[in-house]
Amino acid sequence: MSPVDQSRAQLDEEIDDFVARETEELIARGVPPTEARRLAWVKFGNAAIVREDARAVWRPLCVDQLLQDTRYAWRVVRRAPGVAGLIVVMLAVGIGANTAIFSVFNAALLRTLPVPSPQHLFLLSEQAPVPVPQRFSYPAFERLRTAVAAATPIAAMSRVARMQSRLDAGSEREAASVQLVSGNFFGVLGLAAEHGRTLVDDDDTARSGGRAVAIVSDRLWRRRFNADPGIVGHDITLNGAAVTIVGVAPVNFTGLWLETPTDFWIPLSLQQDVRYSQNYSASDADLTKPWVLQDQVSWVQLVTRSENRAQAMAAINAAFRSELETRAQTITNLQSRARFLQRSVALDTLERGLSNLRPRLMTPLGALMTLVAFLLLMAAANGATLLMARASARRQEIAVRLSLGASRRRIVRQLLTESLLLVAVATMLGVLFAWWGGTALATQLAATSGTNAALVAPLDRRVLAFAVAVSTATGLLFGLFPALRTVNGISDISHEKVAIGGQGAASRGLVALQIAVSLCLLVGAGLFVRSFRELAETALGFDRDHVVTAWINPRLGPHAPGHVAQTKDDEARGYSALNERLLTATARLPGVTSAALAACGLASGCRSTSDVRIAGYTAAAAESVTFLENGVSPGYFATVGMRLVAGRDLAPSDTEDTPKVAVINESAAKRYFRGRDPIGQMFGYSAPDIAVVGVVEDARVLSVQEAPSPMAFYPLKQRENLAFSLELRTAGSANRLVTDLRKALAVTEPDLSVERTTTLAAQVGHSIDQERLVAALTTLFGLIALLLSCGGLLGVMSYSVARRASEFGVRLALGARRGQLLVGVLRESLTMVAIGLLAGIPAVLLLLKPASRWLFGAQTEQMTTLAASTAILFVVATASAALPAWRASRVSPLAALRHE
Amino acid sequence: MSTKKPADRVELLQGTLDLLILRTLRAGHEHGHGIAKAIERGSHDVLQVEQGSLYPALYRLMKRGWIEVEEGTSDNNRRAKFYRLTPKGRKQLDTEISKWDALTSAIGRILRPAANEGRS
Repeated sequence: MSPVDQSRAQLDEEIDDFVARETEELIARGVPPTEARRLAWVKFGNAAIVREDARAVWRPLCVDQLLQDTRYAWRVVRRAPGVAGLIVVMLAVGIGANTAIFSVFNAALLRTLPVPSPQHLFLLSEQAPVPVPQRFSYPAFERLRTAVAAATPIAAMSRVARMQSRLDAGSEREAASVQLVSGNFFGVLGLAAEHGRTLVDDDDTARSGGRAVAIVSDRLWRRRFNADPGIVGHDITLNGAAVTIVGVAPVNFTGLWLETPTDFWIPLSLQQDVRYSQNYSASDADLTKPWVLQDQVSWVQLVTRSENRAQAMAAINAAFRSELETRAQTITNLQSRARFLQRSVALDTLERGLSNLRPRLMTPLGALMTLVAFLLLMAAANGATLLMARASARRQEIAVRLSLGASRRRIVRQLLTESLLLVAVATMLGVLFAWWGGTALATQLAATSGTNAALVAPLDRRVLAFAVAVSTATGLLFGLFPALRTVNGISDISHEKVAIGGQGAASRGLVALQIAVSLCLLVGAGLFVRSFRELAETALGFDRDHVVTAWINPRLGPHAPGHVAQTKDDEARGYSALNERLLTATARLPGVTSAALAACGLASGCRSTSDVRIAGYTAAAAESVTFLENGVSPGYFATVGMRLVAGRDLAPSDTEDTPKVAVINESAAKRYFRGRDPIGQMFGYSAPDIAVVGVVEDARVLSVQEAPSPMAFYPLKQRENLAFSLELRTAGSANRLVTDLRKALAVTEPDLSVERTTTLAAQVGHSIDQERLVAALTTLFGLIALLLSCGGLLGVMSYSVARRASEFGVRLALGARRGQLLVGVLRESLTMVAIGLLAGIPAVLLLLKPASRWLFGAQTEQMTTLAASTAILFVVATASAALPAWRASRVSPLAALRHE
Repeated sequence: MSTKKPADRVELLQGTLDLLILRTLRAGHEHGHGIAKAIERGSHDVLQVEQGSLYPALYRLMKRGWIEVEEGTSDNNRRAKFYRLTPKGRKQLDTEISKWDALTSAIGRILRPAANEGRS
């Protein structure tokens, strides 16, 4: 029972009590009982009014009316569920698309770091006359930090690295993102641990090697450790090194890199233990010794926090200056010394964190936002016309209400409540759609930038506020206009007349515009889908369907060059033994017909190119003579399905001790050995010491999009035995082999880092992720635009038919045939469609030129696509115009005349 | 049945009912019927309480926190709701009374200026 109902029940009790007392009193004075009861009621007066007045005290009138309006609106909506459903779907799609795109926009461009006062965080960036790698050495970091300690704190961090982790004793290895940071990192960010502690300075000391401790992210802690607060003290291994978890990072904090959420933070001084070796620049350094001790390896980025950017910058530059002067002393060339001394440090804002993705997303996301905003406008305008169509069917009802004394404001409010109710339902659906769509889009966008990237696009407060703001604006826009127009069009019942004549030129123009836009989007969708299909079916020069590939990393794990002094030869021998073991173990797997290893996987993003000298080839001016290169084991070509066209394959007998040999591709043969038999020709890096022994067919080894370029394949044994890709050819199911291979590797090489096991087809598929996304998005938006423009057409024509019902009635009464009316309305609709198409076709032709840059394959199909899209649009539009046309032909002449 | 003829009755001025209810409750708690009776009797049946306005007025006063309600048993053993002044209501009553006095004397001065002049 609601509080109001309860109060009402109590009031009824009191009224009864009052009447009973009054009756008793009257009886006591000698009035007969039946008469007394009547008189008591007379004295009390109108109980209904009392109840009304009392209710007004309990609940303000406007709330009461709002509830009444909502109930009434619900009844009206239920009376015409088709129209309401259409409006809700159009608005939901519009609001959902806007919210989804905005959630990605927010995640990529707006969201600030979840740390206190993120605007006070800065990244130190070195300014120099020539571009310099933005990295510092660890000793330089320590010197700088000590020098400016009084002015501003400085923390250091590595890049986020993928590491093999074992999170529980006996569990399987899994990949984890790890960042190495200085002990004061969390302190400078202003973050406290959710459980346990964060890192402290003592954890990260270069001299004593640092403590083997780690902070785990809240995300991983919840996902992998079920948010167990007992995690503190838990031991894990990262790239084979044992570390102890001492704390959990705060909720939502996933690190400073936007698209690579960090799982663990460990001290920088553990660099050697976890074999961190990426994003560094070194000169004269011994990379096998701990980097934290060496001035020669630059590998950390510096972060500072200050409320006064200028002051902090001045302090840091003073310290940096003396650092520069010390280092400049070793530079003998006066000119380069002067240039070196021109370097300085600037402070870049870190408010929104770091991202490689952000600059690339700015334009596409901006374009998407504009597009979806336009779609929403279309949806709102179409919703408005549909509402007007319905309102004109309700003119009678509204006129009656006006005559009975309802105020215009009250009617407008009533109509507005109805449209807001529709918007509310649409918003809920839209947010659901956005929740799903935004996450999917963010994942896809991140995937186009690299295999490990992940962009999280949560529906945070800002996104929800955006959704509410957008939908409220939509509701007012699409509700207020028709409501005012309806009410102003009706004076009251005595003057109510049905207007005939030209109206809605604006809404007709809008429909034509929508048709034009839909045509552009449909043609775009058609072209991008076709282009994607062509990409997906391009002949690659290797066999993607029967090959399974695994990304391995022999540099990680016990095979890696490590603490023990290992010579290059020791290392190569270790890798060679690993390669042998891998090949024999995997060749035994069921279905495998051959196995091979390569330094670079196919379509994996791995690329290695070198300048070469070719005996007997004179390069043209400014021509760079380069080879794309790969090291492969014998049998590689047969395994991946590349065809040898001349000479011999690389053989097991080609080893480090025999003369250097290579197999080149046809492009190389054509370009560098034109008119000569390439077999037996020599080329090389410094001296031409490599003999060409064979030629293979061209293949798109880098990606589907990139045409083959000159390439050389060397025996793996002559390339230090470093293999990062394992290829297996199967006679059976590739998918089953993926599972078998994963299991087999975990058993036979438990310490080998295996990044990914997949079919070659899937790997190739990843390299066209971006094209897939573009094709999917244009198709989605094309369909949305098609839906919207048809909804708009339906709305405009329904409105027109509803307003002209009596005209049709009169015409029928005067002898017009129903078929004539049907054709008349259809012709009117098709005029709008035709205008839209005529406007759309030139627009498409205009856009084709800039768009073909992104299109792959034959351009001759463009006209076919245009014709097909035009036909589709025409057919669908005609179908949606059929309903109002049919309705026009069903008008009853009598009803229409009585109306007048 | 009222003892006076309708012509002798005076309609309550807007807003005065609240004051009268508060004044009636100063003597102690009372139920709705009792309040109406007390006002009529106290005014020698000149003032007639419109039942239609009594209950909304009671709820309004409750909402403002000037009176409160409790379940109780009346003299003839009938269960009823009794209204009672809260400390806040008591204070309010004092302000209302002084406001009323100020109002009536001001109106009196305007209505009978001669009397005032004659006295001076």
